[in-house]
Amino acid sequence: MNFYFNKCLLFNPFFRGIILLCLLHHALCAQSPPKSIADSINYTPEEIDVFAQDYKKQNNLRGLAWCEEAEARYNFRVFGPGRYPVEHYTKALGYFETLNDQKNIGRVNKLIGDNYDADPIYRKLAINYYHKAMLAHEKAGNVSGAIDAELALLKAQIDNPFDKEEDKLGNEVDAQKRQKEAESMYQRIDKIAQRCKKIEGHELLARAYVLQAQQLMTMQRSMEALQVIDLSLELAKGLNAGDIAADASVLKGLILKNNKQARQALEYLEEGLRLTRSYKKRPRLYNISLPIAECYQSLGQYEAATRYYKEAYRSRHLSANRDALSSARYLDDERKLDDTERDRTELQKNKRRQNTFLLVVGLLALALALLAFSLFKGRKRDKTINKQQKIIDQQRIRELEYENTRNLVDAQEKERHRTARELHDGLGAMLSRIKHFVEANSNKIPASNTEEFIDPLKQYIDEACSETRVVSNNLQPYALTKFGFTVALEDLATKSQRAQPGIDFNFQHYGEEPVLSPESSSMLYRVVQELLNNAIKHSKATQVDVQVFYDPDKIDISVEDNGQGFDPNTLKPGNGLGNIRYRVEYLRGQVTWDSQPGHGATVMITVPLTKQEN
Amino acid sequence: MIRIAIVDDHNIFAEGLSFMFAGVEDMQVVAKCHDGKSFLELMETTEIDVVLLDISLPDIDGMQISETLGQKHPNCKVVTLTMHDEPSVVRKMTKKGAKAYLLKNTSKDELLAAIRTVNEGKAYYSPDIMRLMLEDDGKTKKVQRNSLRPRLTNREQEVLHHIGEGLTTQQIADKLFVTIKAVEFHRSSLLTKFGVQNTAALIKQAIEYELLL
Repeated sequence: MNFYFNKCLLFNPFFRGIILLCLLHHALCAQSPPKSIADSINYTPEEIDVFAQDYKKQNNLRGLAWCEEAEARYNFRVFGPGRYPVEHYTKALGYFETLNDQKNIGRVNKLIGDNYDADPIYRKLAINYYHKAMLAHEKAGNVSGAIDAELALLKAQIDNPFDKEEDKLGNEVDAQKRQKEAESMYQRIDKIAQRCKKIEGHELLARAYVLQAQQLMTMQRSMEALQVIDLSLELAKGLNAGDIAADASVLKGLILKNNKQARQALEYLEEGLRLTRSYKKRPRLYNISLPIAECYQSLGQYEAATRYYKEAYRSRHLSANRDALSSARYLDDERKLDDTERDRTELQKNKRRQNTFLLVVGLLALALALLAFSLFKGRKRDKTINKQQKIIDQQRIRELEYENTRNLVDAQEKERHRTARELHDGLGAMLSRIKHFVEANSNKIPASNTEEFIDPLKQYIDEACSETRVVSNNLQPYALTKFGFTVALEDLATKSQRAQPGIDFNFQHYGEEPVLSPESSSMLYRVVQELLNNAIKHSKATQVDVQVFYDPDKIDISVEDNGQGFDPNTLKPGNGLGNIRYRVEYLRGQVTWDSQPGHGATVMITVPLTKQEN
Repeated sequence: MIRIAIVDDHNIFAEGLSFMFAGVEDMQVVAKCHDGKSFLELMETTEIDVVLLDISLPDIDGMQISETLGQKHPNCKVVTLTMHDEPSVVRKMTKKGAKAYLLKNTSKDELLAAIRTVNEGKAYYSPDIMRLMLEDDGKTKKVQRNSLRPRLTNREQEVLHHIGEGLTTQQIADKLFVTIKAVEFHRSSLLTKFGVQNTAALIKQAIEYELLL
């Protein structure tokens, strides 16, 4: 068993789960159905459905749980970590809970936690699930599972950016408090490390060391931190565990950087960056590129520094976008989870009801069948009334949640607006001032130095200026608030044309632009922006048509290209299509895709207008 | 001597800019204003030849100021000095009477050249801005209904062709391997583009425009 453990733990947490599941599967073969769904195969939803039908007939809860997990893995492959896999894992969890299968409850809770942990905004939820996982594993007597969950829990707690910000009151007190926290965290991890050693869980130990080193760094005991992190690196290398090595390398780099050993720090940070890129799903590269840039800067290698600063900002921008979207999704997900929770209790109730029913049949004679029948009928009537009430309640809850989401989105748009303005006016003005200062004083520098020093400097400042413009315009286009949706799209088309001379962009609009709420106009703007980006990046098109049709009761938008097209059934994650769908659904609109390989693509969006006027 | 006013809500920028004029003999910075209102008040009492005007200001935006100047103080010429490089903003600003448009990271030489040029009553556009305005022309269009032959996308042409052949929505969908919803979307776009209410009128128009043969 241990051998298997070490081996399977080499992979990322999800694979780990899958392989663990394989093992469990063998162990539980006696209970598993004859025609069983295999964990190593990538099933399509249709195939899973075939299995599920079978299991349903046999009333095989374990089989159904497996199906949900297969579905979750499918969603993970298509959409990446997040709400879609979680929905199915939650259902699987329900089945396992009905079966009171603690080992699987722990495992699935951990998987849900991992999905949530991928997104900082969900981290609080992740912590919750990791906690449940830990408790379930402890109940099942699975030590390594419990440690695995606890480590994930601690990591999520340490990384949770939201808690930290709340603590930021008064630096002195704050620093002391953080020291104390780090101290107690350190002790806790130390205990875990002891347990890891006892069960020879090397991979777990490597992870524990990373966390421990991090605490030591916070406590400013950098020598010890370096010793611990080296142990972790060694273990990770021995186990060939890329994702742990990634964390460990980055951390070692950071410790070295704090020690002002920039050159050595760079070596580890860059290694960490490389590993993170190849081993992590949804990496947050900002936290790595920024220190690298700072190191280069302190070494006086400005060109490399600029490159990494740019990269840091780009990845920060990316994750900011992602975060904004997911926090808007957050409430929506909560509601969805509530729904699944309800389904789950319903299922348990059904099962209980079934058992009772069998008992009744066994005990009572045929003479009582009539009575049972009438009873059953009465219950059915109650159930219908209940169901109606439930639908009404759900509707009401949905409206309330929707209102909440709306407020949240609104607040985010405002924040973006403010940030964009600060970048644009504040930072932009400062950069311009630097340039003017350099120009005004360039006569004081010997002419021989101008070419070598002043000219590149001016060029760098110009680049910084245009980068600032790009970032701020991406955050919140000035034209959108000032002149409206149509003009902003005109600008977008012109700018895309300038950036991509090889593509012929055309923008047409029909009808009068109605008064759009700032929220919907920026949502729609971002949708078109994303579609244009996709066409530019993936389609190899030579022509892109953007059209907007304003009607009294709706807006139609289409983006058409003559590129290589795609098969809408085999969409890969990460192309932003999910974001587009989410935004349009949020505006209560519809998206239609029309594409075939080799025949271009058209994306059509219809958004009703009544909603915006409210 | 060219009398110059700087209107910019960022103090550091305005300071830095006026510092740049220190060695320039034919120009003098007369005033620095941090919002639109104080600048328009200043114009009532002080004679200014050229104003270096930002667009985003806390109270009145640069476009409005430019328009007001054109009506009340046509002798004061506007050099736009801003971070905005959106074509729509450039267009609007020039329409409101700005004689020059420069980005804030412009070089000293270019800024001085622009000030001298507008002071003589001529317009000055940097090559970048010029290119931007030219590109913007004709790239996008608001299409007047019934006025000219509409521009159709490839997909719309295909759908129009099949409508002309008398195929039903379902048949067109099958032929083009798309959903009925997609065909309906294209059909609705076509009706809008041709400014007609129904398919019969659509076919008639299309034949008139020689889009259907």
